[in-house]
Amino acid sequence: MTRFVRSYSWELLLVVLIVVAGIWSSNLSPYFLDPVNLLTSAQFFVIFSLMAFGLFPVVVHGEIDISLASTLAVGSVMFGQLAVAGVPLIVALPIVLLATGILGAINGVLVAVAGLPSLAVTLGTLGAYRGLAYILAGDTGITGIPAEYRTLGSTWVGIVPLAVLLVLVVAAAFWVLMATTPFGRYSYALGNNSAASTMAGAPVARTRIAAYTLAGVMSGLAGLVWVSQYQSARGDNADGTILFVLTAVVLGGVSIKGGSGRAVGVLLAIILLGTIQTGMKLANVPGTSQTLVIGALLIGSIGIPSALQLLRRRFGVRRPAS
Amino acid sequence: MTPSPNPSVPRLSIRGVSKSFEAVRALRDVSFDLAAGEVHALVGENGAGKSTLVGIITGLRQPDDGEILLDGKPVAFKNPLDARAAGVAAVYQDPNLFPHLSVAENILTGQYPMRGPFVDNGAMRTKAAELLEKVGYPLDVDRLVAGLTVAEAQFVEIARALSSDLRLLILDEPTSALTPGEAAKLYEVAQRLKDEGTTVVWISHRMEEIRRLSDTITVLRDGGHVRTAPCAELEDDEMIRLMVGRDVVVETVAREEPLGPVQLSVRGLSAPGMFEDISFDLHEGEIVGVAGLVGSGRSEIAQAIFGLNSHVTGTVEVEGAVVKPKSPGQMAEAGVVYLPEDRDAEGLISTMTVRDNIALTGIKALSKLGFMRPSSEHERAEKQRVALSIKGGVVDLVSSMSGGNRQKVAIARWLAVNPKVLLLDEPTHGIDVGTKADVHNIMRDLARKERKAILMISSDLPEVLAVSDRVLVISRGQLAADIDIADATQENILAAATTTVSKEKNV
Amino acid sequence: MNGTLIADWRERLGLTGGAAALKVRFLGVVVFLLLLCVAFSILSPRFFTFDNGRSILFSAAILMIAAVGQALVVLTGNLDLSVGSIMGLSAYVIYDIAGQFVELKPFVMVMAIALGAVLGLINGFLVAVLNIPSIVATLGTLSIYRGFTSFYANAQEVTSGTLPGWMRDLATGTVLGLPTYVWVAVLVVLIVGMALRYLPWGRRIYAYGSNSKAAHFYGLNSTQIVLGSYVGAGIIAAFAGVLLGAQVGNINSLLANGYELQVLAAVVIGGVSIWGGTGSVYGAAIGAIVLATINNGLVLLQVQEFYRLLIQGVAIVLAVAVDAIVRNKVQSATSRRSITEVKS
Repeated sequence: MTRFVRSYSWELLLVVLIVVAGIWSSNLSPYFLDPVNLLTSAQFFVIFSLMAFGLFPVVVHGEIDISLASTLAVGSVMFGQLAVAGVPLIVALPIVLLATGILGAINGVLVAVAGLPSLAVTLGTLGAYRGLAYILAGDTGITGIPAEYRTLGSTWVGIVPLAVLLVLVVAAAFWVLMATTPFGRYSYALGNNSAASTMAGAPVARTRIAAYTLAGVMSGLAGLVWVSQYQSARGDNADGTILFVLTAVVLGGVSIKGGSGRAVGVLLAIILLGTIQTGMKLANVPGTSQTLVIGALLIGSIGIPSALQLLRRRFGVRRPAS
Repeated sequence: MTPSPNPSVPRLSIRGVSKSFEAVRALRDVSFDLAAGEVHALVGENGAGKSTLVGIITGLRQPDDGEILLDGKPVAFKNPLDARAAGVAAVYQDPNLFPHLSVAENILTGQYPMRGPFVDNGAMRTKAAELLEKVGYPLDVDRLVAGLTVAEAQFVEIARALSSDLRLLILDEPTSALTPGEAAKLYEVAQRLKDEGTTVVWISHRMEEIRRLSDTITVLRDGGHVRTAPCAELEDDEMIRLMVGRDVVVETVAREEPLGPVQLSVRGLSAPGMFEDISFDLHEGEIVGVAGLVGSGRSEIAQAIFGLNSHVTGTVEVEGAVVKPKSPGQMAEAGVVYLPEDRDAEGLISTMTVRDNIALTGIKALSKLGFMRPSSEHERAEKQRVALSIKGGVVDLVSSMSGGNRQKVAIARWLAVNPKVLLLDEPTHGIDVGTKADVHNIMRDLARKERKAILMISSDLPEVLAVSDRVLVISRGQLAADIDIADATQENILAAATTTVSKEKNV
Repeated sequence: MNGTLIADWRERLGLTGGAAALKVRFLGVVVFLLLLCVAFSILSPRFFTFDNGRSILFSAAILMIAAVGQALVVLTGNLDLSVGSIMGLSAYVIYDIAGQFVELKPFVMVMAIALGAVLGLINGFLVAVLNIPSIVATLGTLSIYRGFTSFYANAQEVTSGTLPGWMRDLATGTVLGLPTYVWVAVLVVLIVGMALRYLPWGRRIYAYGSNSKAAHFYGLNSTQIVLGSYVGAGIIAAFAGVLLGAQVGNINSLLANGYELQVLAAVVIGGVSIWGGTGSVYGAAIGAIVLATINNGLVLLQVQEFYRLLIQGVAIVLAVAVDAIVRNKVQSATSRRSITEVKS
């Protein structure tokens, strides 16, 4: 039992924080705890969740991808155009996911094969893919999305929106992927020690490219959800959302240096962030201030443990010299 | 320039210094004196506490207990720059230089000659050139350090140390990457510094060097001080015995089993800038030692065979079939595995468990229908743990284990895939003598009983002589000698290691 | 690769790869800029005129200043993604205060320096003391500073009427035929460039960026160096923000939103390696001019605005790729490590 607590300490802390945030939010408004309201608000965070799960394996590798929002825009715009052109969803889905997967793979190849730093690469593709989205979308963007494409945004299974269900399925899928497959094992090993993993014969390039490709695919999927929820697509879709997504991953206990972190942590972090943000909306906190809070949470999730360690070193337990 | 030594006051007094890192006691109540104007050798096995002591003397770390006196006055340096200002500096094995900056700027980092509030670049260059003259190794001070050889970089570091009035200079394994010619230059520098009154602390494993240069020898063992004595009073075997704590006999166990067919055959292996035209055979049941100076290219050869270098030409045959080394994964599947020299950084993942480390090499084999089975991973690790007598549980983090056990885990990682050829790079480097013997026995078993072929790169000549059936000597990237163990001696190996093999150019 | 191996190999290459590669990198940007100018001149007759050149320099001016500030941070191997937010926050707050307290109007620059220093100090504290990776820390402060600006602004604009008269003149004036801003930018580049070369503070930044481990072992105060670079970057960003505000006239809380991408592009293209330790503010300034030239050229050729983002992004990736090659050459010359570590 104690081993479980120690091993899952971060996730348990998140659960506690969720409860606290929930209490705070329900104080702001009695409607908060109403299940239907909760689930309806949850829909808003589906897009971020999908991107966060896509980012999750990449961060486990010890890398980063800040271009996901731009990839989403390419995806949403492509979906929008295919939708308006009358292409059935079943045909459009593989096409767009392939395209966004390729965008992700480009990132992966630049990082894994050319050996370029992931931050710089995805900083570049953030701009490049955003530009691509604008070019594809044209000036006005796309509206008039047919019903088929709006399914994800307008269907309920009982009281649970389909989109929310999708997140749960994706969460479960990533849990399985990272915890029980060779890809997951290699990812954690590479994130812990890339050189030693190479020496052990781990397929570095392949695994890294796969992680980035998967991130691209997830962004494409998020693009579909965007189209179905907002019933439109423009080049500037999701601009600036990388903050929330990265915060969700880091707050979820996935170390930015790589090698650790669990899918359930990411899910809990999203729930926590969602609770806080919904609460802020209820309290009529303006949008940019909400972003401020998210930014503070991002810094806090790494800064507070770090500060505690510093203080401990200064005032107490002796720690090993680096 | 160095203060004239008062013969009765030691240059450096170390009094009761202790330092612990969490649970590990790196230094236990160490006390001894260093006289002014002498060459003082500091010897001890890896882990004896030498680096920690140097760190404390230079201000990189603070001791938990004890004090240090420089020329009779207590000092407590806050950082190495502080120590340098007081005339205490250390030069380490790996160059600590700034590659993008010039030689002049590297020499005078943090001690820039100033003109008012501004750095005087001209004066910096002049002073740097002067210091290099003093060291006896003139270099173009405007060159970027990025273009220097390892030897040049080392001399720049020494010039850097000279830039204050040097009272104490610590040299940590200074000649390990130098050719004999360059090493000789370094001996001259040490002698000259000594004549000028500087105390030189020489840390080295090379007995001949220590004999030749030092006036006094201090032996450390397991964090404690063992003995400080004038060089003439301490014989080599006595020194080794003090370093190790018991009589060291590197055992030779004669081979009874015959050799089998060729498992690994290498012909004309070349990598531009690293090694050239390497050819040898490795038989089943054989242990072949690879000797040579540090930097001669031995590791590079093994790494190239293991698929870590894409610019390699030549042929590699495993069990008669030609294989083009492309990646470690591919070579491991072909039956050839490599244990890197830097065990903790490259041979193991210290932040993961024993089990995860051992499973890593066989993930493909352990997975079924795309999923891993934790029970088989556990089983695989357990099997190895028992086979190699690894002390500790399979779910323990590798970082919590001793050096010897960590090496066993590193070996176990590969034994689990049942390889035919093992390329071991300095397998007993930094391991205590007891486990060293264990590892040697494991190697002999693997070769003779389990019929594997082993290539062992080692800089420890007694080890090479004790364990190998044959010795390959690499000198400056070329195969200088292939000596059968019956004919091999330390002398002829060393001689071969320092020759330049002339190439016959075919027109 | 090891030092004294096959001697003639090293001699054959003459000045070994590492040093030569570094020297070529700066020239590379200049050559690239010249090639761009040639290409655009051929494609559009209106490109190669004094007026157009002036226009390019003017549009590059503020970007040059911001790039110089960012270069300080990138030289240490870090990033400052909050530069746009610092610019916006400084412009809004300072002009608002100057508008409300007329007696403070002459002190706009001083206030900018103070505010920039504080914002930069916060960034530096997060990165150097709390050890938060710079991308995370400055992504966070990007939102925090922007959010604060919004909060402070409360949806109101600072109108150009409240700006100090002399600032407005600065923004529109010319000296010797070139816009004043261009001279200001050149001045900033020179001052910071000189500081980096002739002040110990600057040399330490280069040393730390070149090899932070060696810097630590040698005894340089890493915390101070990183803190100093962020404070410098903050001050310069605030200064750039105030200048931008004067140019724009009516300032809202979204001034310079998203500017960080352009700034980083300028710095990276200009040869300041993302790994730190190499490159110069002169390179960053030229990088800014390159970007401005590309923009200008695209407008003249009537290419859609959207392609600008695409090109900027690709340019960043290409610049980093070139730097990776340079870095490889530098590392292989000084390291005795095994092959797998050269790229880490």
